[in-house]
Amino acid sequence: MTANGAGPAIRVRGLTKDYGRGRGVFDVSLEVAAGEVLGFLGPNGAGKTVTMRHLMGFIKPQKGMVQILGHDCFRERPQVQASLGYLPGEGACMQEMTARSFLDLMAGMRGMRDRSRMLELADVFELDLGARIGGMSKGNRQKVAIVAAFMARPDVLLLDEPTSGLDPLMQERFLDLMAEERARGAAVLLSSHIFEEVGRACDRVAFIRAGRVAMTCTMDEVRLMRGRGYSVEFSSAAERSRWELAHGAEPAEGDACGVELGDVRDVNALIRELSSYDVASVTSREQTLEELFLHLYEGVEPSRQS
Amino acid sequence: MILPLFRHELRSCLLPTAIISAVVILYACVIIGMYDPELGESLTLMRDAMPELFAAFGMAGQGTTLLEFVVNYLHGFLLVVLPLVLVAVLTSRLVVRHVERGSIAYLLAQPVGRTRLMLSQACVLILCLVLLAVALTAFELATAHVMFPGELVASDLVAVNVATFCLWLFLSGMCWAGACAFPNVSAARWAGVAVCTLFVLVQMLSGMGDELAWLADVTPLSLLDPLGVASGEVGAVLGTAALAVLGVVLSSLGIVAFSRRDLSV
Repeated sequence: MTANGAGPAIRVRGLTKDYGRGRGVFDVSLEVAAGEVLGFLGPNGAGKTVTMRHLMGFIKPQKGMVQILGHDCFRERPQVQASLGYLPGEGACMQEMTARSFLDLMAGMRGMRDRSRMLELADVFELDLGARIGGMSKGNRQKVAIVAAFMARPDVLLLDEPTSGLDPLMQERFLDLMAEERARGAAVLLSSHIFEEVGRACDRVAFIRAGRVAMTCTMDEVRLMRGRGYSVEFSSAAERSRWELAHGAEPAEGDACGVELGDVRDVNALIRELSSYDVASVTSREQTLEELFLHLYEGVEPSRQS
Repeated sequence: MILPLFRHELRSCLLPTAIISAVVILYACVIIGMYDPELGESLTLMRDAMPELFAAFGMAGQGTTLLEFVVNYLHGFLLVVLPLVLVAVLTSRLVVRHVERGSIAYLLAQPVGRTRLMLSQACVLILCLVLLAVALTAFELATAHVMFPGELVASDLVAVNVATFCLWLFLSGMCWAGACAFPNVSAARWAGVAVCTLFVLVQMLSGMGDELAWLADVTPLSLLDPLGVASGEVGAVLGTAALAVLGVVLSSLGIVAFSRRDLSV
């Protein structure tokens, strides 16, 4: 959705910003449509925050195009930010203010007269509006940032580690809020390290490594790519050692008698192999997103590029 | 101007403004009180004993009128240095601290534009300096009226203080430009203050002896001639106006630089 209603809400094409010594982003391309949540995954220093800063208009691209709702993010900042909600990665609210005065200031700068959504969100996240931000815990400061980002019902949301510091109950409420916003038609770019959050909140996921987008795929594709994990319990530690010796030099994960197999694609081969060992039990589970993407974090070439 | 932000920032800047104003007003009232002929003679004796020291602090001559006395003992040094401290504190609060703490990310996430944001912040600084100038003028006039009725012409004092305000605008421009343009937080906080302090030191050195007198003309501070402005001298008025214009130009350049620079927040 652009300013005139066509195309993606967030469009990044060939974005490059070279800070030298391999730091920065290189030829990054992303698109997020209205009503879509794109998870943005990657190790620390991979370029997630640099990409977010370009989208916020904080940084001018060296090369490439960065647009939100059809507006250039650097040159047309006020038009972009009128429809944008931003949650920065580091809680940097004005420490000396109370939550209420800070949120009032942000709403005032936005020209928002109606504070009902602000109060509603403060209620959902059980935020004490009268408390001074500087005296708040990290989780409560994060709640202030969440209310500030969502209170204007923006068309586009840029969220950098949004649930950092939140307890499980509040994380759950945040995911409900995300679902609500997606249903409303907001386009969301969600940068996160929490795979479960990405798995539950996102329609697609983009993985960035060393400043380059290594992989973009839908969550349906991710589900298809997921193998199963198996926990194998051997009858004895000696039996486990025999299995370990047969599988190379690296020690296997698991306890004294058991091993954890993260990504098993050929179950028949596993069953055939285990038949030559004395096995006490085998349990299976779906491979976690973390296990799926671990090879990308560890720098192994991706098996799939799209 | 962004009214909600302007109101918030003004509230946070009022305390430092009040403190510096109180110090400046105290000095001004004490110096007006010293315009006692007998004390004047003692000051003359002190000045004769330490002419270089007095000259270094811009107190070369006592002057024959209360206005000249006040300008000699107040405007040459104290009304440069103390407002410079205020300008440094306010510039740091209004620009550098937001970048340093990252709260600028929240301000820039609102649909206001960087130029408008910085203009709003600059308005807070200017208003604080106006408050300082108004309070100073009011207390000087009141003290002079109580202690030496009829000795001080109000319009002359206002002209002198308007000229001094133009110097403050110049100091503000220097500090503002540095705060807006430098990406490094320390440089942003101190570059403008350091250059202004250098100007003050050079001017102090110029009063230390005839050999160094030429230094008086090498800094922009030499453009200030409050008594010349009060007596309507064209050169003094133009010099003072040039200071104000320089201040506005420097502030504008700072705002333009801020609008174009990368902000890694």
